[in-house]
Amino acid sequence: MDTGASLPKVGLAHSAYVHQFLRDHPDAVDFVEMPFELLHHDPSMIRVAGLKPLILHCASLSMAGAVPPSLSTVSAVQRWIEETETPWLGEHLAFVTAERGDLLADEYAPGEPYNIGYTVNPPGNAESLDFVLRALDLCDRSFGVPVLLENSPVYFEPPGSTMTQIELIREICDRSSARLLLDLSHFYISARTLGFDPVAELPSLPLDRVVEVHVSGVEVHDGIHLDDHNRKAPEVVYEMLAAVLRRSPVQAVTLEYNWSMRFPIPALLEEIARTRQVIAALAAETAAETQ
Amino acid sequence: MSGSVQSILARCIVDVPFLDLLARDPGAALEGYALDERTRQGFHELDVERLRRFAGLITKVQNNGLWQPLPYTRALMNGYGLESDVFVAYVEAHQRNRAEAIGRDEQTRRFLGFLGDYLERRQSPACPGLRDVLVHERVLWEIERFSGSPEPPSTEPIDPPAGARDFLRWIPVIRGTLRVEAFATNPLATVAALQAGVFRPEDVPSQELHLGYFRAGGGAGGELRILELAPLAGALLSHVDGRRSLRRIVDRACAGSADRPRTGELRAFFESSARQGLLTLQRPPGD
Repeated sequence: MDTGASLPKVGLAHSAYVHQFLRDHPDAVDFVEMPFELLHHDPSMIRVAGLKPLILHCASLSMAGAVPPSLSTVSAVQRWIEETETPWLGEHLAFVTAERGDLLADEYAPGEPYNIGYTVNPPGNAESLDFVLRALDLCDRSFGVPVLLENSPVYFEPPGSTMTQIELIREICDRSSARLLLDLSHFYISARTLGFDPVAELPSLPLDRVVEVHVSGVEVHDGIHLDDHNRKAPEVVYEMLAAVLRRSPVQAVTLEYNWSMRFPIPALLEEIARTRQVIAALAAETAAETQ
Repeated sequence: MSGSVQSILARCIVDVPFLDLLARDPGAALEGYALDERTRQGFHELDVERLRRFAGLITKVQNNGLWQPLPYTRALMNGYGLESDVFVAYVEAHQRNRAEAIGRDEQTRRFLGFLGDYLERRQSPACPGLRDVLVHERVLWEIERFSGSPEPPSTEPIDPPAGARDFLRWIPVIRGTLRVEAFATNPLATVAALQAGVFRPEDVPSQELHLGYFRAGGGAGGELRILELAPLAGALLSHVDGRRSLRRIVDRACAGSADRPRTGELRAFFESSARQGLLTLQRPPGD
């Protein structure tokens, strides 16, 4: 994929409908973000690469976890980095597994950690910072491409935190060459949970490190904001997108509408168009400023 | 310290009784974990309901594939704002499923059972049409997945004897798969309204309806027919098991009722059903 172009590319997170969508609308998007876990389970899904360039996305390395990923997991991720020819690997600033402890050892699988099977925002503290730096070092040594760290949504303040998620991200960037995948919907959810203004707080992030952006929907249930890849992004997320594009060397914007096989295609086309409008408006603004 | 925090949070997500204990008695729940006082206090002050809702979200995402046969059930659940609550309630069962590493069909079957029970237990507010659409989609899924029935029985000429007593000894056999369901609303109309984008809960009328879902035998792939049935017809067909005589079927269908169909009506119904390819009438064994 040509990541040297001046305008960010627009792509879709893979879902069952994407293959047919690409055949029906061959020029709608520029790439597909493919989950490592799907390729690992069903290698035939690599066939999407015949239609569009792929960006590999992962939720298995537990970058902020006390339990490091297994060598077999790292090896499998490396295989798919090579097979997909991805320019980078997107992975979450999160933990996926955790030690169980001797007293709670699984009778049938002693020594096995808890496997949540989903990414969880870690406590913001020095230990988490060390876990992440250790994981980044492992990725640097193992993979031939950079890892982009994606911010997890903060649904509750993790006990043991001595710094905010924003502060943790800044520390990581200060101490490494880490780059970022900024999930705007996750950041919006975190803002609603913690009570800050998501647009105003964006400059607190090291925006010069942002290479990819995620956009998706948000559900509100009993006052709790939850990630929802089955509905359109709220308007504020597009406001945030414009703000980030002004300040960051974003190369790719991924629309994550991948929790349903039946996401309405007209709605999807509207979201793609909306994203391209934001990008085009910023490009026109930049061109006008440089004249 | 972070290792312990991660262990506790992970356990909260996958171990519902532990999360309940943390909510009820955090001191007891945290016993044995190496935590400094500040972190321990953080767990005492943790918004457990947010954590519970997050566990429900994880469960929902990890079950995304199960919605494939239930698109309109899902649409209604979303419309009625139930999806999040359902998956919060499903966390414990889901974690058991993960531990057992069951296959997709069993996952679907268990989820359908859970969802049906959940909707039955739900008191209010009412969700017009939801329960019936779930039953409708469940039947369609079960027939699609599990209706590879053997070759239909040989088609003897329908020649039951004229005498009433002898007729009632004959045995109807379904020529494929038949499911009969009773509804309080019309799920076909609800699905059509959802497809057209014109569904409104207030437009779902109460309507006693009996539907027969029939797929001819001889392997999967036969056309599925959905038949609207009179209540008695539905009751009669639901008791056809390929072994019961017509007399026993009538006895079961009309148990507790003073009204029984006359033999002539019964004969007309079953002979008509046979001509439509729904069943055959077989001689009693030994005749």
